[in-house]
Amino acid sequence: MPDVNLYDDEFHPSPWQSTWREFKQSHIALVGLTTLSFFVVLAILGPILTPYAPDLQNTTALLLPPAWHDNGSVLHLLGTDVLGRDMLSRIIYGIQVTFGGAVGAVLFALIIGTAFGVIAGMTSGVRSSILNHVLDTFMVIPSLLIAIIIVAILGVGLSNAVLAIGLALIPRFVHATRNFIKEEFNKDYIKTARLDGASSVQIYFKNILPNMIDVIIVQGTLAISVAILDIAALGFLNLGAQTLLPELGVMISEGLATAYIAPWNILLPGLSIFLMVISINVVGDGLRSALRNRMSQ
Amino acid sequence: MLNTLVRYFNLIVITLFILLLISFSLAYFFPGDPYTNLTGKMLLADTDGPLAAAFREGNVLQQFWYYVQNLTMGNWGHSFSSALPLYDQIFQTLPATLELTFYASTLSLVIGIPCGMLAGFLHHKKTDYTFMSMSMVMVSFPVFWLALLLILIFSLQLNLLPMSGRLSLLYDIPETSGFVLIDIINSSHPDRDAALYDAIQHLILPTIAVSFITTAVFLRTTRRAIVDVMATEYIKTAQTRGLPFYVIFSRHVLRNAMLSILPLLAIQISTLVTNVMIVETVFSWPGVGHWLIQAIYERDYPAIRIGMLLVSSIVVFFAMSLECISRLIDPSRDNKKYA
Repeated sequence: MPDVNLYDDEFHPSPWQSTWREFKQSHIALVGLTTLSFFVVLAILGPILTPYAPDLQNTTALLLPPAWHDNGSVLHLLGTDVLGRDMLSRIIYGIQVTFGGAVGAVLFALIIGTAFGVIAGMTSGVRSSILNHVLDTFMVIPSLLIAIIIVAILGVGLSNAVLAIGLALIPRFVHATRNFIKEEFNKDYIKTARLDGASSVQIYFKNILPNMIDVIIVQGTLAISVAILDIAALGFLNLGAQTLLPELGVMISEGLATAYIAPWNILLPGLSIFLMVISINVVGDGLRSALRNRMSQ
Repeated sequence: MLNTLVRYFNLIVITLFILLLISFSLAYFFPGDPYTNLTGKMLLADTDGPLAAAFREGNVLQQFWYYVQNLTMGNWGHSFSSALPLYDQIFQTLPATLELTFYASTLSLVIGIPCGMLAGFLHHKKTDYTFMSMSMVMVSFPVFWLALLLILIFSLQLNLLPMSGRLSLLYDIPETSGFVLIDIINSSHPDRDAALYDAIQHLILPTIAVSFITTAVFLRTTRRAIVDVMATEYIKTAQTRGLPFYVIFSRHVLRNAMLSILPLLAIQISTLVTNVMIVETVFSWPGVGHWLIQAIYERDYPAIRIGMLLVSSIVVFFAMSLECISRLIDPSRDNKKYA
């Protein structure tokens, strides 16, 4: 060991620091993180950055192509739609709506799902069995069906779509939490804590929760990408956000009528959904392998 | 083995029962009269049948009992919008969905699993990275946007393939089984070959749109399983014993990897069905998904209820059977999971 200074403690990175170290190793993950932060900034600062209001109609420039096209205008960088609304502004607002809705749905699912998962993981016997059966049933109902049912009961609208997607996402958090807790309970350090006389509640808060946060964050990241896809799909099917709201899926379904003469009205909102989802997936994947590498060290 | 079979049979029965309960309670959750939501008919003073009597009495347990009895007798209620029996409507649309799902999942399995194995064996090599980045891109596609892109490129720009429906109206093929390819092959239509060609052309785009995402998921799942198996001690032992690659592959890798792939495939079924339903709507494919989404536009509550019950029962059945099979061929897995 070269130049060990006896007076300095050896540097022990905290779990988060070592995760970040591993995460930094992958360039693709860093690019994904940059793209994701770009979208987050767009979503938060949306109203300040947009050149026009999302519903401002410029009737002198209907279906204007994007600026790089021969007929495009620099006033509307990404062109306009059939009512002469600026696509760039609408997409930035759309990112706010879609991304914000997805984060809301995931937070809802995360809180409820983790709570149920903890109960399912820490109970045993008949109670656990009943809970698991009911949860497994909900797990196999396709998310679009749950959304259709919620919409049929409560009516269409973005908030109902967010609720439906949140409900559909709950089982994956329950599953992840339950499996994690079952696994951890068989490990030696939990048994040691039990021998020391710790109660289940103490073990949960002191030993399991700190270890579980990683799992939940990875699940949450991946769930956001699913939620974005689902919110956009519901908007596209006219079951989620309604026409007046600039939601990316709704924008695609509005662009359908003019798909042949103005394909950018479909391509650009879809491309922004795609870029958002892929950046989240890359970050989630990078995070997962960073955690795996940290554990194997 | 018998134990596992019995337990899974139990599980399926319990799950189906919960689904029945949910579908029954939906009639109360939907706006309007519960009896009308269940049957699609008005509850009048002289309406016949035990179900109507139970509703007049207000005995919920009896209502549920006769509801289940009606379901088993094929008396599934009537649609609000068309007033036709739902039983007939479902069995007109279901084959189209099953057909599309079958072709799409076969395509995904045939492409996804071999590519995933290749990527797994070449772990951390160029091929692996290529496959992984490709699959990452493929998973991130919104399925409806992908379907629209396919239509834009192949139907509108290149004019190669039809953009909607199952079969051109020119061919009048009698429906016997409901599966269009089988119907055409069995029919005695004079232009049978042309009709078959046309049906296949209609199938290509929806199948690609559905299997695009599923293939990527299968690829990633398989790769992970292979990488995990290749890192184990028994593979190293086999390698030190000097076994040739194909023996290690067929005797150790394939079998053990399949054990972890099968349950993950079972989870994917519900995602697959969601994608099929969306793609059906985009391509106007006359299947259950298209029918259900039309039903919600028309607030056709009996149709939504029965569609939800049927689609989720089918998903439950397939998912549970896959899990049961994986449990049967892998007795080492934790048997106490459901205690």
